[in-house]
Amino acid sequence: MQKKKSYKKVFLKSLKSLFNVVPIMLGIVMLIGIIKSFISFEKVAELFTQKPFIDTILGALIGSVLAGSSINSYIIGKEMVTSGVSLFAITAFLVAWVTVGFVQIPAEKAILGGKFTYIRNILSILLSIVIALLTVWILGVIK
Amino acid sequence: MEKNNNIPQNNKAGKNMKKKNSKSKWIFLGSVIFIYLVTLFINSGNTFKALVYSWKLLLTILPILLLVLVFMFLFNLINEEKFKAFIEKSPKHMQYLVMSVFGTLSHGPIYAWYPLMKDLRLKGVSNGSIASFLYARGIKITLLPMLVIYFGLKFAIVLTILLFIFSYMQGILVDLLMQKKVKN
Repeated sequence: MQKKKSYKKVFLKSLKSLFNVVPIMLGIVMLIGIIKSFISFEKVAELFTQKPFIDTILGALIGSVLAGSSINSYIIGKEMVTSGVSLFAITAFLVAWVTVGFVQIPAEKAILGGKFTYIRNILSILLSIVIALLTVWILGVIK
Repeated sequence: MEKNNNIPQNNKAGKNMKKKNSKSKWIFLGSVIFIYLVTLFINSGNTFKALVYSWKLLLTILPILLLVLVFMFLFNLINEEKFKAFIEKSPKHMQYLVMSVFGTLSHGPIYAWYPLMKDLRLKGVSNGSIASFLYARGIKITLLPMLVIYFGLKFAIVLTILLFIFSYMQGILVDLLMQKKVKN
């Protein structure tokens, strides 16, 4: 009986923790909806300059700002390939899309703390550039 | 064990932080609703589309949230003191590795996992390990065939392996930087 009561208590505690973040999650979902509806993802590929260094940084930044399913990032990435954008930029874009989340920052900050959120996201932007350089270098070596 | 920066060290500070968080989440939601009201006047068609998209997105998140709730329930069942002692004993590199694997296997949007990460941190899991989990979520096992079709097999393999290695490395870096901040 005591055990059953404690299970119930633990379940309610978990449910309460989850409900606490509902307003933030709802906000994030609505924000993603507005970005998706007002920004044409296909047009994003046109923003690149054909200069590999600038494009890599641009790729990391655009990937950080945009949000949504990774499938969208693949579609934009493919558009970038067709437009002749460098593989450095495409990789940085794909990595930043899945590892950095500007849209999620308010939620991450509120739940996991500001310091952690900023350090993690800034580091992820930098690492997306490092991963882009390494990926292209490795692909060049194993060719 | 290291002192966790994001956990208030006394009750008063804890209450203040809770109050601040409780207020900020409603301010955030209110701001987003305000954006919708503004865009409604600019382009009502796109705003309606945004609402429909958000609703569909919310429906896909619900099963994930249920899974998160189950995990939270299971983790809350674990004896906190024993778990903390276990975490203290286990080597950091193992924590990063285990969390990177969990991150790779997890599904759904990243923000659905924040509450569980918060609970784990309260139980003594380091910030770095949480960062490893969140970074490894970049690996999309289920979308791997699509990545291969779009960018080729070599690219998909190299990128996936690098993402896993860097999720481990991010754990180390985040822990280092968080500690440095405390010293300063």
